Amino acid sequence: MATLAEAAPVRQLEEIWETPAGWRGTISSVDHKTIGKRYLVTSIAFLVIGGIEALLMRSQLAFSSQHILSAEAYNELFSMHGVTMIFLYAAPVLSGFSNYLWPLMLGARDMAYPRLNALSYWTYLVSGIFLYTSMPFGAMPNAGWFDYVPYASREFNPGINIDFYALTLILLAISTTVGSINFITTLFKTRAPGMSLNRMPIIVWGTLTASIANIFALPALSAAAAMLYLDRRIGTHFYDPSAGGHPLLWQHLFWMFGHPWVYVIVLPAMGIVSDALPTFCRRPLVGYTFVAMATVMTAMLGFGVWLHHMFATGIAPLALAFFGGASIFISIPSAVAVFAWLGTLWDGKPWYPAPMKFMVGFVALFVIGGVSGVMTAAVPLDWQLTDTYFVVAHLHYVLVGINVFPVIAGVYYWFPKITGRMMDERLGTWNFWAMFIGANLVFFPMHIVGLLGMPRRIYTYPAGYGWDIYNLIETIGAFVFAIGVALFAVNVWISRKRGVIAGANPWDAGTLEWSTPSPPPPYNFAVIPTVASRHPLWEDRLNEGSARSSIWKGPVLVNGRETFATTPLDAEPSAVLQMPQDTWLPLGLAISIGIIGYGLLFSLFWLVGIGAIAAAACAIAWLWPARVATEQPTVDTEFGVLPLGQDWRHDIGWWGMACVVATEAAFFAYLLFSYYYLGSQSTNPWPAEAPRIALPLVNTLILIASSVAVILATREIRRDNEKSLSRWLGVAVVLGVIFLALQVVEYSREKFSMTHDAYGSLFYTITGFHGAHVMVGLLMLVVVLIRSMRGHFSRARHEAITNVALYWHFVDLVWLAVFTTLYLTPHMQ
Amino acid sequence: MTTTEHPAPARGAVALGGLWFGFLAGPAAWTLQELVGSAITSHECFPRIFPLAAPPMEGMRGLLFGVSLFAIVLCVAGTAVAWRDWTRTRAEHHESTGKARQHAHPAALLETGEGRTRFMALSGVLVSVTFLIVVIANSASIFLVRPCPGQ
Repeated sequence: MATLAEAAPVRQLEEIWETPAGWRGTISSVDHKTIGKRYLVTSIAFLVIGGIEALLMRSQLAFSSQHILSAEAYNELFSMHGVTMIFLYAAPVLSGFSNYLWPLMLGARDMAYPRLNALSYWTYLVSGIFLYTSMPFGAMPNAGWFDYVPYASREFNPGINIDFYALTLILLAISTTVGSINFITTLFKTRAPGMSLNRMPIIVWGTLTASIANIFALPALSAAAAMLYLDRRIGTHFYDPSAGGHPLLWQHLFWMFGHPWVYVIVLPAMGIVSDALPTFCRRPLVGYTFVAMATVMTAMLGFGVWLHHMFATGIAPLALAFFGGASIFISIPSAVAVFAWLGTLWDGKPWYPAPMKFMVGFVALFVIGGVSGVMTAAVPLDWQLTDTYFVVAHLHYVLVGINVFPVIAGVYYWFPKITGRMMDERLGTWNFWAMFIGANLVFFPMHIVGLLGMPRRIYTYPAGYGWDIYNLIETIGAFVFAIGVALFAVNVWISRKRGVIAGANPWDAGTLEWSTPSPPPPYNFAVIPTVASRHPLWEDRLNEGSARSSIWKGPVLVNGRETFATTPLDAEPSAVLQMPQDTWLPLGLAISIGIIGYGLLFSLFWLVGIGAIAAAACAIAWLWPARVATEQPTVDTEFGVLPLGQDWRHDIGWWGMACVVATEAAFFAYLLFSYYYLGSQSTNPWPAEAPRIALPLVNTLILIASSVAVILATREIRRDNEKSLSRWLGVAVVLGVIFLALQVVEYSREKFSMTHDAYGSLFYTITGFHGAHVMVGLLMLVVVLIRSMRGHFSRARHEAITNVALYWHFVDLVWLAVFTTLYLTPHMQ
Repeated sequence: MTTTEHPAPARGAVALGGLWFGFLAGPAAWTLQELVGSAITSHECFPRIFPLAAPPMEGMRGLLFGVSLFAIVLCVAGTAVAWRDWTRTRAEHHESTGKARQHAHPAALLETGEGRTRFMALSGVLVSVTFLIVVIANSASIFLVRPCPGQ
């Protein structure tokens, strides 16, 4: 039973939550703080690598007509610089902050899925290593970070450079997707009691919004990268205009992902400022609701501006106007946030230690980058500026200003919490001025050379265009900026051992993480806090009301790794969750995924098979329950009697599965968009010959019948009828297998192939991906069938059945969309 | 809870469905307008590999305006519902802080943010109004911008 205790059994909590020392602990830790620190260190290492690549490029461009680098080497460097900074630094570094901080800010003992958290990190590391193994092979990606086809097609880029790129992005998409699912579920299910939606720190809003955006945007990138890989290695024709494909399909899919991604890598960083800046102003953030909604609206509008990257591709003027309008109006929520920060400064009593300097610098850079963004949202001006250095200036002001500066501010701000020591203030001041002056020296003149007509991505340039002096200034600025980064690294290195001891709350901040010791213990909170306001540590000072948060007294939850599950809106306790132990399975699964990647890269399909078997083994071992309880245990807490291990309704497993279904649905939506897009652009009949409909119709009925069987299985277990549960699950499995068998029969009968034309490519890709989903669903059905035969389920405990049923119904619903698109619409023409 | 009030004391005063409608109506309306509008104009002006001077579909502007009108109505409805919920929960942040009718803090600007129901209602107002502005601007472009390059 959870007890009310002022003196929590700290030693017992430490024994329960502490990761064992040594290499076993290193590979098996699922502690969010350890994973967060790993994310931070790894991503900042990639920042340094990407920065060195930038310095090499700037050295080349310092003067006209230089040949320090060859054109080929320059192409590889600017591609690797972009991919490294955008994918391996900018987003993962924010995941580092969020992983470390979320449970501490939300009053929980860990993330909702600690093992998934570890998988997210290990897969990220594997993908980074995967990308950089292209270097010893002499085959680094060389078509830019957005990798436009046809530069990236096999015809013009025959090496494996682009294959490294495509497979890296797919690996990273896995990492980011599982991480996003974890953030969403953590936010909606594991906040401290009382922390309703309106009491969350803004960085939580930022990462939540970014995670939801990832769920819907990343599938566009995965689909685009998979189709690029298939075009290059299998001979499909998605991007091949000679066979019904279209290069602009890549641009559409890439930017449907790419622009939301821009906000993914800035919104949590803006959240860092929204949470940290008020601490140094000695007052709460002005307009909390306005800033939270500005964050949400920015992400929403971010999905509707992708075409502004394609203004120069010949799209109809009125369509451009719609996207130009959205691109201009997206500045409204950004401006709201800026005015909120300025209002907080104006009305507060600001003081300016190193983190505050970086935050104020960020506001300045944000405004400059934002203004040039509004300029390029105007279609006529964009036509003049496309592919010039003006665009390079804009995107670097945005990404350095809104990502790097808040990240450095965040490190200075939370370093005392992470290490227990303060960073050196004098070094911090030098660090700030070197980076601020350097950033403006390197990026501001790019506006001017862009307006003077200097194209981006040229590896050298002739004298006499008036570009020389600006390029020299830019190069000097780049090295000044690099000195700033070096000062930062020195400061971190020195301060982690020799910094002044910080104490729990050195900045006198108001949010929950500062109530824990520095560094926090493995269990985060000795008692689970109960939250009464947005600033639990400032309540007496602000005197907003009579209610007070309870931080030092409350439930202990000491029977194993436990934390509260709470309701999504008001954070009312709904269950006591039992969290998993440390395990090496996430690392094993990540390595298996990496093996599959190398197998696909070198067309070693036996290696792909080994990786797939290893991945399946890890997944089954992961999902197999450590303990089986057919009765619903309960626990008596000060919030009443709560179920132990799962909610009465919609447990955290359901939330995870719902997120999986959402992102997979988006994946199929992008594939079907590709079908309709290429169909609308095709100059030939689409399709040349409509597919036969009789067998797919029978298959559709079979799949619908399988869903009915799963519904009946769920109904039977709710009646506590285990035998009927097994029977109906068995029927669903048999029907699923028949569906796949008939799909194979249909493939053997069709007259066109995957490599025949773009239609054939899409037909087999869409039905093939759907078939793969049916196989995954079948695997899950077989697992729950075996478990049901072993008596694992009861009326009280059958959450696995509910979650698998959700996935299976999704697979069936997607088939209805696929069937309508691929089989019915050709007969309607 | 022993030391705190419920974070949404006014939750019984408004329907949760209405709060979500206020929050989502604007984005849904804008999504509809932008996707339908850009898909129709793109296809009508550039159906295959050569751009057309004028859209072959008669009444394309009328269709787009109809869609836009529906989007505007949806945004206005979202704003109205959110505004109604906001006014109905006017007292919530006082109640939830336990300081009946007294403003929380003299330094507070705009709002103190207590009360989940009121927070969601205000969020609905902000989101709906913002998307109403975007949808009206997009609607204006139907009349101000020629649909195809040559017309």
